[in-house]
Amino acid sequence: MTKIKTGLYINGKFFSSDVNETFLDQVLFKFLKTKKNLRFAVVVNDAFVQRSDWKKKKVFFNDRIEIVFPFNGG
Amino acid sequence: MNKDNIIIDNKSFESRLIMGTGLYPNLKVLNESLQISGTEIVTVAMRKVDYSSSESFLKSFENKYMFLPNTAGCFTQKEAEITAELSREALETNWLKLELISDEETLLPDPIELFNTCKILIKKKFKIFAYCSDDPVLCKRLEDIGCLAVMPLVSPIGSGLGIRNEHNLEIIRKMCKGLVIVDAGIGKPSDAARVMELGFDGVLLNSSVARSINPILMAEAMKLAIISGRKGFLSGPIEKSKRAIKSTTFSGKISNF
Repeated sequence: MTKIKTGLYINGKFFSSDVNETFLDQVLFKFLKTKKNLRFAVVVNDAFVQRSDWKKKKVFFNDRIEIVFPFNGG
Repeated sequence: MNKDNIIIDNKSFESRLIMGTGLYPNLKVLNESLQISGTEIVTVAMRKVDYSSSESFLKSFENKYMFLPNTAGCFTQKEAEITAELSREALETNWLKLELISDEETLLPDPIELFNTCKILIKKKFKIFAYCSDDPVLCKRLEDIGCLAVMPLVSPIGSGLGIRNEHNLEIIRKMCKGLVIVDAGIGKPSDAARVMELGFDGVLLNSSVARSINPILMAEAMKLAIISGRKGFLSGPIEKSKRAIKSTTFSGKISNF
């Protein structure tokens, strides 16, 4: 029997996880590996999620999380 | 001495030059170019990059400039709305340079998508710098719905073609009473000086400096051109005449032989 690989997509890359559901802020800290006060913002499944909602925002298998930072641009 | 500052959103700025931060060969050249240009406002994009890249980018000039986030690369209202929210959250500003392009080939602004998105984002309390085509009616309509600044192009983004339709620019300046800042298409310092001579409030540029052989020198040239054009506008140029008008009186000269 083939085991289904479960996890999340972060910035287009798949990250496997055994947890069924978790909270967005936990995912972000794990992914960014820092607790520095960074300037960034987050989209989950094409919807913007405010920083104040990160702690209560649940994320599930196969959710698509996009983390964006300020960068060079004209 | 009278200060001729530009007032944007109740904030006063000495420089009328807004600088983009893309395409520079490295951060050192970017920073030196920004510094010598005298700019006080810089544009930034929102991108999925490694946080350390973003951190070093921001750290190199944070606290020196106001950030004007852009929606570069957005084609649709939905994309632009999400990008606007992301930039407001990450950079803690309601300012937004709203770019909605119609296609990848021309990078021309999509006026219909732009107008509709402006209305929505203004309701969400964004202060919109609307990047648009050099259509006087559109510029006026964008001003009327409450855009903080209207930003017509003079030619396509990154083309360096300079002013393609000066007549339209003159009409825009006449029709729009608020802030009009030229964005996109500037190639040479003389283009920047010319739009300032026409009475525009400022210039936003990126490629003409970043892609030049010597960006730092070009940044300084742009600064001087904008100051020169502005002073030229304020000083009231003479009217053009089809006949010569002598600048030295004939009276008192020696007799004609």
